[in-house]
Amino acid sequence: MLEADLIWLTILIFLPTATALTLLLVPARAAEVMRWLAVFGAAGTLSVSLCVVVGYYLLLDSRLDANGRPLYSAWTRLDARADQAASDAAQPIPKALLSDDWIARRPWIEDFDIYYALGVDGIGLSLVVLTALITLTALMASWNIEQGVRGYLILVLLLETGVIGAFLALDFFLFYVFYELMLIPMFVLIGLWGGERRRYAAFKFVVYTLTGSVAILAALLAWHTVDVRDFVDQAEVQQRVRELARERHLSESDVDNQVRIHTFDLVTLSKVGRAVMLILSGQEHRLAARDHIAEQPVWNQVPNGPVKLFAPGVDVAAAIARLKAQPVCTPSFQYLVFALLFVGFAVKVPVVPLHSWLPDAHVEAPTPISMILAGILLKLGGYGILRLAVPLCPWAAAQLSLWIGLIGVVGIVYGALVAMGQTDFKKLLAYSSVSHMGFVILGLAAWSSGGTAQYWQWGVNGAVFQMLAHGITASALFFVVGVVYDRAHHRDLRRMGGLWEPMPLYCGFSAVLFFASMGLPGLCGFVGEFFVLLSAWHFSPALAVPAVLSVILTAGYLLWTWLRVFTGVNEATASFADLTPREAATLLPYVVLAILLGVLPFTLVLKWVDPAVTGWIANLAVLR
Amino acid sequence: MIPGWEATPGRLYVLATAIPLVVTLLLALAGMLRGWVRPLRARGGVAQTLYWVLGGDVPLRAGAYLAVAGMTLTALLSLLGLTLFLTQTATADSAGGCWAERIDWVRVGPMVAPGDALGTENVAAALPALALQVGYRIDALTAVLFAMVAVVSLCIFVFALGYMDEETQAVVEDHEAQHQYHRHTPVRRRGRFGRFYLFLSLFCFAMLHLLIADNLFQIFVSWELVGVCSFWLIGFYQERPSASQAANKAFIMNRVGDAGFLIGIAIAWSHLGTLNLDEIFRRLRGAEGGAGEIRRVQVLSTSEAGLEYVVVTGNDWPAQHVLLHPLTEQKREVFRDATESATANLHDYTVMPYWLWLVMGLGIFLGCVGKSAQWPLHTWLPDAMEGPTPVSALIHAATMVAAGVYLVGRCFPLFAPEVFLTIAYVGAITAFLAATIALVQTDIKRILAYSTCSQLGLMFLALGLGGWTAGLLHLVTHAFFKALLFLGAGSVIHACGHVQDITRLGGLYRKMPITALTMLVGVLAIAGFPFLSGWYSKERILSQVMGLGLYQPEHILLWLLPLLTTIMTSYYMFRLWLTVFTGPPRDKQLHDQVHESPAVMTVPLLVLAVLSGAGAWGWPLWEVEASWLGQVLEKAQPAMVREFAAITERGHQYHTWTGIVALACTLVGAAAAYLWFGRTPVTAEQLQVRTLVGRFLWQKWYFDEAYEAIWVRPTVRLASGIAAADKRSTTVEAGIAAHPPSPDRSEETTAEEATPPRFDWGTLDGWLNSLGDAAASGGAAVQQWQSGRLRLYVLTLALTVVVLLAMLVVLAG
Amino acid sequence: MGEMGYYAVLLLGAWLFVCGVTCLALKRNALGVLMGVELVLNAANVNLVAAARYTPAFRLEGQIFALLVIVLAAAEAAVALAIMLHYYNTYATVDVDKAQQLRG
Repeated sequence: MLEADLIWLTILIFLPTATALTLLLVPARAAEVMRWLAVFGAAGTLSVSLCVVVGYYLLLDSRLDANGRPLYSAWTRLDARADQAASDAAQPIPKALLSDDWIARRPWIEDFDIYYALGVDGIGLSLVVLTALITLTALMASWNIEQGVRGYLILVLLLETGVIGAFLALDFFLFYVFYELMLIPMFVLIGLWGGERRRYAAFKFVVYTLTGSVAILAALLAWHTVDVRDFVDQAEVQQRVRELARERHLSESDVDNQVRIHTFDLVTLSKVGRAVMLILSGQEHRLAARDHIAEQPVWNQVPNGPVKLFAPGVDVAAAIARLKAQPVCTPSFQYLVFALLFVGFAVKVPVVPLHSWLPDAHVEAPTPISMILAGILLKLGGYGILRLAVPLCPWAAAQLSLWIGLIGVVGIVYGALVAMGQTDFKKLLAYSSVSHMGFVILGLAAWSSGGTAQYWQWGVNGAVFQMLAHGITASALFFVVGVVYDRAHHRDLRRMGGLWEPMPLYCGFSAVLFFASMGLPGLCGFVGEFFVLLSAWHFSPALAVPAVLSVILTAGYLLWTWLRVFTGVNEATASFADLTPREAATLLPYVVLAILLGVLPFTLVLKWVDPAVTGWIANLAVLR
Repeated sequence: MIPGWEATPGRLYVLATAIPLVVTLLLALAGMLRGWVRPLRARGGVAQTLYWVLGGDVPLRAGAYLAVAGMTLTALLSLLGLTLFLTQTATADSAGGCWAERIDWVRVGPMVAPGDALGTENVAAALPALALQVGYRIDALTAVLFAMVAVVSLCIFVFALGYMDEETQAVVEDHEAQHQYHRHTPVRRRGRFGRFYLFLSLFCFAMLHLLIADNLFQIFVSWELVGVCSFWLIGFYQERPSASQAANKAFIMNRVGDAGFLIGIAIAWSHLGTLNLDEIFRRLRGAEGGAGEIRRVQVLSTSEAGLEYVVVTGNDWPAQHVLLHPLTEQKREVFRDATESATANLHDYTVMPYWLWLVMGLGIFLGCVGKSAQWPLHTWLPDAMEGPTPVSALIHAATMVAAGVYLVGRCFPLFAPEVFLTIAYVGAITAFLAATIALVQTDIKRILAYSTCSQLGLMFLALGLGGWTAGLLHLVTHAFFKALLFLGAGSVIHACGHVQDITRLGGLYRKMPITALTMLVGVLAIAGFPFLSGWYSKERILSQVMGLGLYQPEHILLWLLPLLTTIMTSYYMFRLWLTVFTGPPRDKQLHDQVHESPAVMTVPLLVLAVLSGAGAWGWPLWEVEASWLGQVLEKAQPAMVREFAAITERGHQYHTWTGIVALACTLVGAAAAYLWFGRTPVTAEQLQVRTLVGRFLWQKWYFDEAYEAIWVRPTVRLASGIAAADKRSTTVEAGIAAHPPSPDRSEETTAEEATPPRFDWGTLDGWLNSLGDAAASGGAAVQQWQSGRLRLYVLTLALTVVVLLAMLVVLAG
Repeated sequence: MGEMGYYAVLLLGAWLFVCGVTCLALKRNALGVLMGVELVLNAANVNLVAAARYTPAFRLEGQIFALLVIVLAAAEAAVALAIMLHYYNTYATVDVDKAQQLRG
């Protein structure tokens, strides 16, 4: 029997794939049918994702914390639920066929310790909903793709599967598979449906992203060499010992030290990372074993108190010795692996100077693909750093936090300046993405700990929110460009102007999105930037000041663009038609979300994102 | 009407604030629907009906009436609120003289309550739980300003019904805008009545929200919102490049200030752990409402046990740190009055560096400088006159630009002494600078704009010298008479077919007597003639200034400049009035068409004239201190104003003399104006500047040119330089220009796919591309080995075996 | 003494092998190359037989493998000669340097 959440999550991931397969059955001439089918598939995925949100939210809300308050029970934390699930699975009679923990773990390739492990928490889920929404609107924006409709739609839907899978995967290998899965459709979509220099752009995209992927793959292999026997259920270790003893015809005590357990499980690996951080920072006396495999983690651990990472029943001294003997417990390993992961994801974010694939890809990609690229794919970079790079190598992340923050700030300022110098509308938006995503990096880097960990928490919440907000504003703005490109057939800002009078509705929608992107309070772009700036000042004023000053630059380039596109009098644009109802329907959700998320960020998003972020912070902040 | 409103009468204000927002949303929704169905209007059916219901091609007046109705309601509520506040808080004492409520907007993390297993003392106490809260706080200052904003807005909303009447037409010809190619065809566009009122309502919401906010966060939100409304309204005539440029300039200048504001907020957040103003004051100054004094301390040691420090007394500043008081009520008991040295629990008391306290104040003040158009960020305000005149009256004279003054008044206990001095100097310099420029301008609205800068400077000066009531009283009275003056100017402009140049106006008194007389009231009020509202506030400011002059003569500029400003103010205002309304008409043709404005415009003028005249009266009339408004405002005066007691005392002592000096200044200015412009007819040429100084002033001290050279152009050059260094732009120049892309770009372009420059060492992109090229050429080099010659292969094979064996031998051996 | 014999035979095998490889590498005539291949294979054979003779563990294996190699050499020669005939038919030469289609 399968768990209900496993089924839900699998449907969520593979519903787009199923739709793509159904598309194969549609006769080639019925392009319109295919489009509608794809839209329905994407809408179905969005509905499923919303169902998961509701289910997950009910889960959070039903459990109270120690003080009787909802949403902040240990149950909201991914690692706590994963531990509980592991504990349940180890029971002689596994319970909960209808489990509601939103953790699913099935063996996939057991010989290589690879599991089909999925888990839901606020961070991943919010991005999943964003993905489903953007894919749906991108498909709605794809009506004017005439050539190879079937292939196009199939690729977009496969892309959605890859992205959602990556956001939900709890197994490093599974994550990597999904991460790569999304690369190929993107390559083909740019390479076949793109503009004039599409081959160049597609190859550049693939070379950059694959370079990043190789780095991630290297990190993946490095982590698989790590022996995690002291972090997993000891019953499993004992069984391995027995098996090995039988195989080698030796006694169990002789082979005990030869048993190695490897895993791709992210929760377990991050425990190793945290233990290594404690050892490397000279705090190994704080390491302790848990009393129960599913012991509930506490939110704010006492500074300098014990950190319970090892599995119950482990001899702590021996475990520390074993850990110390491994290469994982060396600074060079930590630095190297963190650098690999960070660079791998930084390509996607993108950070300066690894960003130069982005303008090319955006400029050449058709409008809906740009929407997906800016709205979703960049988020995978930020998500990867949040979910993998920092939790797996917290020590290196903490050591390098100032540098990471600096990278973020450089991205913010550099992106803004380059955007100011552009004359191509789409390129300008591409560089503004570089600038906006810099805030994500800065927010994640703002390590503070102990009694002031709240500041980092604001930063990380800000970073997650900034990812959502940027997903909304950036993909909507790319659609805005697409609309004007459809009418003018160029994107040259110097030849635009005067769009306000002929296209009032378009202009009104664009205004909201422009100002949301600029970070106007009351619109979604503000919240993330504001939170990140507040926590950045606490982290390092020297980094915060240029980030703050960048708001001037941002206003500068966006308003200048506004001036060049919408105001004035221009005979060339005077006869343009306003948004068609389909275009308006595509833009409307973005506009509504831009306003709603700006006004009620907590109620709508952070309320269920923050428990996950807080859990994340609680794990890491206690280490320093 | 409002749930629980008996207990929480402040919600009245929330309702009053929300009304304009609802109006905005309704107008926006209507506009969106109209835009949505517009393409479908030809198809008939529901879409067509809906389109015509929403006004069709003609802008709908109903939207404007809705906005006016909403504003009327708000104004009535605000007056009701003011009455209630003044009657209720006179008796109620426990609330600290204000109505306040707040709720969490964002609170992240689990709230750590006492009794949590993890040990509160270790975790939660170091900083209060970080939550961004939203709330309102109504005290006398808010109540007065709220009523002022609502009433002035209402007047302007009504006035605009008349002033903007051409926007109600289906097609408007804009003669000031130009087509790109056909320069002489007038630009035609649809009327934008609804849009105008939409932004005006949104602005009112933001401004009122700013006033009721109880924390820096909400103030910042409103701060930006009023800025963006100002942006839209300055750029209302979007066909005119000058309007759009001015809108941009205003917004970006404001953003410079906002960046400072953000830094101030970030410091408060990082070191005080809260953005709520009352809490900030309490943390800095201890006692309730921030009544205590700042404790500057030298930290001796911090440890787990506690914080050891010495209080620094006297003037031996800069001290290292400022002592921060614990936030929560319970913790206050632990406080031990420490005069010489003391230890307290580390977690109860923290410190923040003194310089950061300074920077926090300066940052917030920079926000005020930007919003209130003070030197050195003053250049946007005169340009903002590109907007419609009601906008100039409401936003760029009466309310938004006054928000900076309001914020300084609101944050009074937050500032360090050095910041107060900065505020005073910035105010004095701006007052003088703007007045000198106003002397020679000939655009009626620009004169008023510079006058606004100048008057706002006086307010800042007063606040900087501790004249809290003086500065804020002037804020209110200035709003009345400056709105009046702008509306009067609007009336003139409307009557004269959008002529703003005083060299073309003249002799309008007989044609438009109501406008002329009401404007005269405004002129007298701003010049500071006795018994008009401006007199009461200006007297107080000058009294403060003279107090300083007698107390600290080294700050000579701080009293010399305002006196000169008073003379100049009187001069240029009378110059304006005399030139426009008296003497012979300078443009006969124009003069013949002129007639008095309709009642919808003159009634607001009359209302504002009454307010400008009698708005600040009290009994006895001749006693400045007895001003009713002043007395109300004094109730909200923060306790720490007593730090300026020395200045205020001396001002009081000599206030008869001050009155005489001030009146003399006013009269000198007025007399000079009369001598030049009143006695004999002045020609247009005589109004032009000729002297070197005159030219310098006409060019506004060349600030715009300087900023262009120092900031704008280098930034743009840097940006395009970096952009060029990042990536060579191939799409626009090479791609699109060379091959205009066809809409159907499917299969045909592969052949001529533009090859990007491969080794482009000048750009970052090129460097990275060259990495790829290096890999490619490396592959090509290795390819040479694959020669196809069998014998070579065999030889290589043999040699490889030999080498491998040799290595084996060497390494293994 | 037996060990000495073993080394001598192995040396012979090595010598044959070197001769074969040299022949492979230097001969331009395809037939010569083919002879080189035969020499190499026979070098291997010598080694196998020697191993069968001197090493008890490989007594049987050595001989079987030697037989296998002989069969293999015959098969290889047949195929190679066929290729060479075809090559001669096409290019009218047996110079292997002229055959460069494998160039990458």
